[in-house]
Amino acid sequence: MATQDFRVFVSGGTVTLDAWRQAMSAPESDLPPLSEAQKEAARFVRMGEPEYARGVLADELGSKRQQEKGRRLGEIIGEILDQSGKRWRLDSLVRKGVRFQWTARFEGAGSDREVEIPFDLANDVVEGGDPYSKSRLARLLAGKLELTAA
Amino acid sequence: MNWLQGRTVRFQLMAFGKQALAGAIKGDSVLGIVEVVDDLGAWIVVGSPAPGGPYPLFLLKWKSFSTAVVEVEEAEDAPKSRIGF
Repeated sequence: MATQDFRVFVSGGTVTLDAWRQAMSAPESDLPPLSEAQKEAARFVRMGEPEYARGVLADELGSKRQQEKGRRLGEIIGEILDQSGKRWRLDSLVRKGVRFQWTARFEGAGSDREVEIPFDLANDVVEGGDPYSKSRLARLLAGKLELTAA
Repeated sequence: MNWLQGRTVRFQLMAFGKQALAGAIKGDSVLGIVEVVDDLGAWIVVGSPAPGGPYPLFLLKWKSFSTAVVEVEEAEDAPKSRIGF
């Protein structure tokens, strides 16, 4: 498969309402331990350490879910590449929260290329709610990577 | 998109902010996720809204907090674009 070794990097705000709810309802025993820097930050804003830790947990859950989303998106990209002659290999997916997009980096024979995938399209593809979303992604990749059907 | 959106933020409130949010929070600070940022302030989710319906966003006006803490990820993990010939 053209994507077996790709990496996923996540940046920007990642906390969804689901992740937030999960962190808010977690028992105190499930909260992550705070580092000295985090304890100092909690004191800085006059916040109790358990409440601060809930925020840390929300960040961790949000980041983990985005990692999983990136992994699934990469697998779907791999399926598209496998049907198009395998000229390119997916090297990495970078979630750029501030720009509302994933950047997919590809390696080919002697060259690299990047394709920007808007969050809306990536979400549709991964969550499978839109039957045409994978086709839209395939068209985007075909245009940027000059793919042809195998 | 503002860089704060989707991030967990801890705000230390000024007296005005504590008074304004007295019905929703206790203490000197508030933990929330930022959903929207505009000229008025930060619109945040506080507490644990029930699933399956509309949920309230609280407006934290810019003048209502004195400082805040956001945790950011290390940037060094991101792959660097290659420079070559």
